[in-house]
Amino acid sequence: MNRRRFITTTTAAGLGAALLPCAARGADPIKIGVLLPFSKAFAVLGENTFAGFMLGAKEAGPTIAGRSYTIIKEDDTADPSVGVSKVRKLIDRDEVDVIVGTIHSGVAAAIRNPIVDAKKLWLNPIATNDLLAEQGCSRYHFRFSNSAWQSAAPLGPWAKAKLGDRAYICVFNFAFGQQSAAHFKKAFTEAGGTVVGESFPPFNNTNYAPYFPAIKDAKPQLVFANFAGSDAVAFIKQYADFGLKGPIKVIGPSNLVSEDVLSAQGDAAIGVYSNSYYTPSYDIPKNRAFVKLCKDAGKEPDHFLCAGYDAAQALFGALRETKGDMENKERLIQIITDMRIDSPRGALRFDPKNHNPISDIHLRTVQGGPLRHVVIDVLKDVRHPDMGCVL
Amino acid sequence: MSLEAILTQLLMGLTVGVNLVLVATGLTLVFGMMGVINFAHSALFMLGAYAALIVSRHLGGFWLGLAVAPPAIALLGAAVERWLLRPLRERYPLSHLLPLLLTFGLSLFFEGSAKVLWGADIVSLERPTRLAGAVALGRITFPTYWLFALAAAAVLAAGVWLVVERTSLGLSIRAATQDPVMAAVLGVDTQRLNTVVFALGSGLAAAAGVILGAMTSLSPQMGAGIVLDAFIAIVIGGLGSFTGAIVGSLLLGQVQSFGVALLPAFHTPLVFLVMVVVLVLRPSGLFGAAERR
Repeated sequence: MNRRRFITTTTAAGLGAALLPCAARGADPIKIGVLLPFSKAFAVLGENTFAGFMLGAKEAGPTIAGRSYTIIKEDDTADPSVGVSKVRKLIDRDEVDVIVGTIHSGVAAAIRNPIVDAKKLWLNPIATNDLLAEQGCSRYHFRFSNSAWQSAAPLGPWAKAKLGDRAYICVFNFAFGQQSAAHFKKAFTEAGGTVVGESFPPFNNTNYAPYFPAIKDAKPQLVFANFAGSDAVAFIKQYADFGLKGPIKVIGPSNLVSEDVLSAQGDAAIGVYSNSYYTPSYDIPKNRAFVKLCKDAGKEPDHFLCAGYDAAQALFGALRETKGDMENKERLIQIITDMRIDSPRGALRFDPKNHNPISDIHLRTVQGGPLRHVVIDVLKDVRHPDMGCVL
Repeated sequence: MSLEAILTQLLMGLTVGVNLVLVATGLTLVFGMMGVINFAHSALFMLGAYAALIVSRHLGGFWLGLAVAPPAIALLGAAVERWLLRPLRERYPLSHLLPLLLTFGLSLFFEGSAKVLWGADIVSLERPTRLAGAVALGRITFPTYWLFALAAAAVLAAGVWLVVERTSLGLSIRAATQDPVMAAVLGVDTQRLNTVVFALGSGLAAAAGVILGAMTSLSPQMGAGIVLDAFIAIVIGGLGSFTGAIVGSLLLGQVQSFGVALLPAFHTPLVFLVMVVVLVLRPSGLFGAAERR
């Protein structure tokens, strides 16, 4: 761009701004702040979520109603203190209009106040912290995955009906594990089942064998397990090694056998039950198109890509409706609250009471050759219970 | 607890304990001879597992991986000792801090390189199908692979024990771990011995990496937990003592196994409690005083 051209465009923009307060802001791009873990243990998850968001952005095009946008990436390293300083940088220095993030539940809790105090629109693709749908909820926050409650409680009645009356609980010993165990236990017991034992191996454990004799002695029909990453690989492999897999069914949240660990678990994962809001093999037209979109971009579809993609669909869909106006926050919030998102998972909408997603939960089992999740049941419109949220 | 559960718990503890011996041996012998806590030990454990993964994927099979990885990592260990650690210790003979920092830096370098070369993704080492399933041992059944892990590590550990306790090389090693200066004065080539011991320790750690890697999964940080356990084991057994490393490792394996079964909520602190009790009663560890000055 030569100097004269630069002056003309900026003058035109300035003139436009004076004449049309809304649409004329077309000249300065919308700033989208993306805060995700791009390094350390959650790096792969952050990259996938971002890739999903970018697929949605690519579909929306480089401008929305004539207004361009820029994306500013920050790495929260899945560390709450880093997350807070990065989100402050995005808000204060970059002056972003909207925050897209994050994955780690602790980081989500830590960045909640800075974002809400600054009255920024907050699209949370993954972080499952229950608080964000309860006392810590906010009108500015929308979640695209599910709450910890949604990932565990619906399994209770289903497991009681389909797998048996006696359950053992074995989960890793930190907030997510304990929350999910409590939700499952309550739901399973209320459905008429009995929890015959519990154990809480530490986070980052590699040897689960010593926990198995106690499980065998308790004679359960199923084990509710919640592990992630390398913990999930070691648990599932050793569970099969010690011959528990056949007689005692395993059921858990999606992360127990998600795509990032499934190939390392190998045949040991066959027959494990899990739930998720998204399954790559789910056979609906929108998902077939999404799977192709991912594969064309060199990515294997998973629930991280799906949630990132849906966050982009919500943001750009709302901006299309406001003709690129980002200033009227209340209108944007209203549009997203009323939105019906055509998600690869099926229909996605938000609970007007807490902005948590209401979506179908797929119950799947792992099948072999090649390893994949097969949807065996769909729980319709699962919503987080009303617990202390005032928007 | 049923008798079956007790026997199973015992075998599980033994499997972990014997593999811990492989990791602890290198740590304790290197400390005994050079006065260096080798922070790169966890990275050598990890590199062993990845070396076996590369070999088994591209050249053929778990067995070749298990045969190739430990000698390869032993060579790497020898190179580290000969061209990094030795020059540093010759230049600053009185510093214990600099060799420690060197090994710490190496561990970061190796872990970072592993991440760049093979990614942060969780991957798995394929086991031979012959080792699938479980075998009946009287009243209990035990996974075939775990029995193999127990037997393979036991054979290796017994081999090392024979070398250390029954050969003239072993005599020199024992002499040098007790008093390196006096051993040198008496004509032991301690420099060559340092290289040999560092290589041996690295190879054993790599072997454990392969054996245990197939029970869990591979990632650049996979060595951190087991090396911490090995460190606790050699503190219990007595820093620098080979016998202590064996006894400490086997003890720790059982404490972990039965700790989980009997005191599930308390088993993590239990390991450290055992260490504290041993250190209060015998500050130099179970076998430390007898073998060190």
